[in-house]
Amino acid sequence: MRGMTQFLGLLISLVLLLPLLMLAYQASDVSQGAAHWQHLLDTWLGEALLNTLLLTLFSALGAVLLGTSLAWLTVTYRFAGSRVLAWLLILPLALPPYVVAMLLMWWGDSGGSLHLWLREMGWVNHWADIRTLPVLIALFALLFTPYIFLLARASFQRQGLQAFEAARALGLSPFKAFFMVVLPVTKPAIIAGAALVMMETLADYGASSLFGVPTLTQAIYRSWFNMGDWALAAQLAVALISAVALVLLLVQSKPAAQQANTRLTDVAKRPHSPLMASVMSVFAWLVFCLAFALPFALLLWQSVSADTGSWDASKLFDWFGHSLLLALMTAIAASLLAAWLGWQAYRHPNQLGYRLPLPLLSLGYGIPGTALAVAILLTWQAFGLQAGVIALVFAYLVRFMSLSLQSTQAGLAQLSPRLLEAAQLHGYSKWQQHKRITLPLLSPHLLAGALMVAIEVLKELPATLMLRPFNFDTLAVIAYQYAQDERIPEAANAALLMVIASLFGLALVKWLESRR
Amino acid sequence: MTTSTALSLSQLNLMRGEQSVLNDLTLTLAVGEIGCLLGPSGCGKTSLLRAIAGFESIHVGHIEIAGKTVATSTMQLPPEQRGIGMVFQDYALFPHLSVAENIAFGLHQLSRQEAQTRTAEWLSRLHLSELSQRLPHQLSGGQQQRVALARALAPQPQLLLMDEPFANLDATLRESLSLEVRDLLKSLGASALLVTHDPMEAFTLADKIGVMVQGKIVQWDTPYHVYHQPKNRFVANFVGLGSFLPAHQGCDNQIESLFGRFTGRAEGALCGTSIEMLIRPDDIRYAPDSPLTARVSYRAFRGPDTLYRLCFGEQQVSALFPSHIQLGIGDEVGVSFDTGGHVVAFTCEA
Repeated sequence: MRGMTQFLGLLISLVLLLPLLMLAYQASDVSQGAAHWQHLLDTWLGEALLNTLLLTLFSALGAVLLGTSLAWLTVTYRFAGSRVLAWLLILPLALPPYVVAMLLMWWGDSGGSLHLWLREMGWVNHWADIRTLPVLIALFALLFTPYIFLLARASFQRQGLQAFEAARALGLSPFKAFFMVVLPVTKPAIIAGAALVMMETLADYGASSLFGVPTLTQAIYRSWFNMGDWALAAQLAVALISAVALVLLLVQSKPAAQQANTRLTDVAKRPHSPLMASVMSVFAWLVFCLAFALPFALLLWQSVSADTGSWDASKLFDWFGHSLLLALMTAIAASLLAAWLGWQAYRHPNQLGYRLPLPLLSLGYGIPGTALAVAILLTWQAFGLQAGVIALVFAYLVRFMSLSLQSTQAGLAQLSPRLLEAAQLHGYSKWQQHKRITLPLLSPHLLAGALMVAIEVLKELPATLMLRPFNFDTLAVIAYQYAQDERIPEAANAALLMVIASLFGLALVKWLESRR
Repeated sequence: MTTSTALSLSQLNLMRGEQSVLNDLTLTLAVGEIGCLLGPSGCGKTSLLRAIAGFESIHVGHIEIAGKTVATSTMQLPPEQRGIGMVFQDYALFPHLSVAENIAFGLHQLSRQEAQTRTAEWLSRLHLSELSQRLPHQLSGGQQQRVALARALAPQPQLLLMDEPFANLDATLRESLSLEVRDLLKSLGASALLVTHDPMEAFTLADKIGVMVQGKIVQWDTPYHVYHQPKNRFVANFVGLGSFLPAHQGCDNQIESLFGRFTGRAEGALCGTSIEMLIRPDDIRYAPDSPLTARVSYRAFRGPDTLYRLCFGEQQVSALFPSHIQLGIGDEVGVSFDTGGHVVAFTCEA
């Protein structure tokens, strides 16, 4: 029996990772795709690769600078809004980059108010296009700042200020003290955050394609749909996954000695001068406005004020229904799987067979949606199947399972085995122990994991775009397609609904976390 | 075995991989007695407790609780059928259940009415009635400890096991609570076995102390005997301050020392060899008129008493005098020697 459950966990992992094996197999056929390779190289692949590289590096750099400084400021100083910003600065996570790219398109093209304003100021001429690589970099850096902010903040809070103050007492300036004693301890957290930003940037398809900035993901999409060259698509997908793997490999470093300061006390204090406090406040609020408030307000305004003419609002509910259905199916499947796999690993910590599925399935998070879609299309074709809702949920599971797994494991880590022993001692059967102890304690974590998966599914664009069945559109797909056709008001309606649903989910996750 | 025995362990062996955790361990605890396993961390005391509870399987030996065999090398009764209560080191209170629900947790076999009455009884007995609706994280360490105790005792176990029950509390609370716990267990007539690495805790609580080293009990005795008549040097050092004074083993069970001639024998010492005699700080009395004098080389004020280091020529001995006796470093002081009628000596270490 024991061997069977161990086998089952590994089997599930293998099934979920099978498309990647198919992808590798398809890509290994180098005789295919060569002609198209040459064509791509002659035209724009070089530019796409360079863009991808620049985007990845500079977005991560920007997000690290913004996220780390904001985290440090909000942890150590009290200024106008410092506490509420700790929450607000997470909100950009609910804004998919392609939605903000869409707003910039509308707002910043030659008829848009931003463009008009820039022209009046005499900074740009009539033909200037703001859809450029640097603007895209700024967009990613701002929207992905929360990844760094959250991890760096947690690290600063765990450290407390003792080391910083000791360094100050030994005569170092605040600046020097930060770089010499605080940053080295926080470095692993920042690097982990930067890796996340790089992975997100590498995976982006929507924003770069709306901006007309060629990237690797677009090369994959085009070679599959426009050229119909599966081998080429597979090879490009493998290249993209290799880039992600390279990022992950580079950040693999030994965890630095984290000071185990479990007592989280509020250490924030007033800055020395009111001027400093104002500067900090303005900086933090400015980032929040650019990364969330402004785009969100614009989306809201666009959605309520625009005349959408003969547009049928009931279709909006169809798309919302599709989005919700996919999110729900994936969230439930991911939670059940994560709960079962997590529990097996918790009960048998010394048996590799039980532990192995967790890291294996977490790998999926690094697979960009375009590459994953190609892998799944290839697999489905190999079995003679049409891609459908099942293929979509499968893709989401592979990509977002790790969120559920992480949340479940965090919950299990807090579940002391002593609690179950105490329950057993009082005569409770295994089943009753689960009912009275495990489930009540684990369910907030399972729910938070499910919500995070649901939010990601709601926002996911490239895999949905490539795998969805005919006539089965979701909010994300519709928002993107309308934006592509420059039907911005319609796109704004769908995007707003999606963003509000994500915000609602995000608020629920935070509420669950605060209750712990 | 009669039922007046609460716990009997015989020749217990427990292996973890290649390593022997418990090694040929035997002890007996009478009904109503409080036993305490004392030892440094890693000596196997927690493993022993978990083996008695049934969370670890023994490989050789025999465990009996209240006259009922609960474990042998071939049979392991599950924990819930052993009639024990357990207080875990981190208390293991259920974080999502209130104080009252935690205490009622083990009373599911009783009717609702009975369980409620019993819970209320325990809440008031441990002064927790006001806190009955709180969640564990809203309680202080001492309060959590009392809830854990009430939860373990409410189902009326035959034997209470406690794993480092006071380790998470600060020193003053530790002392007052351990007295409170002893009074409670004595008033209930409960049998208990607890585990600690703190000799003071063991002295305060226990009727019997078992000093454990490397999976073995080296001495199972009353607190007084463990302190004043330790079986070996390790026990002597572990349970309290003491000095080893060079002495001489005479042939007719006589020990000759700086403080005179005593009846006794160091185990294994041959007649006419050098031995060392254990001197506890409280064996030395302040006696200004005594012909035996020493010079003070060190002092540490400790409140009710002062710890001195006294030099008798080359030999140094620790001594505790009431703190009103104020001596300075370098002072000559007259002392007398009183061991309560026995001396303990060991052969010299190789």
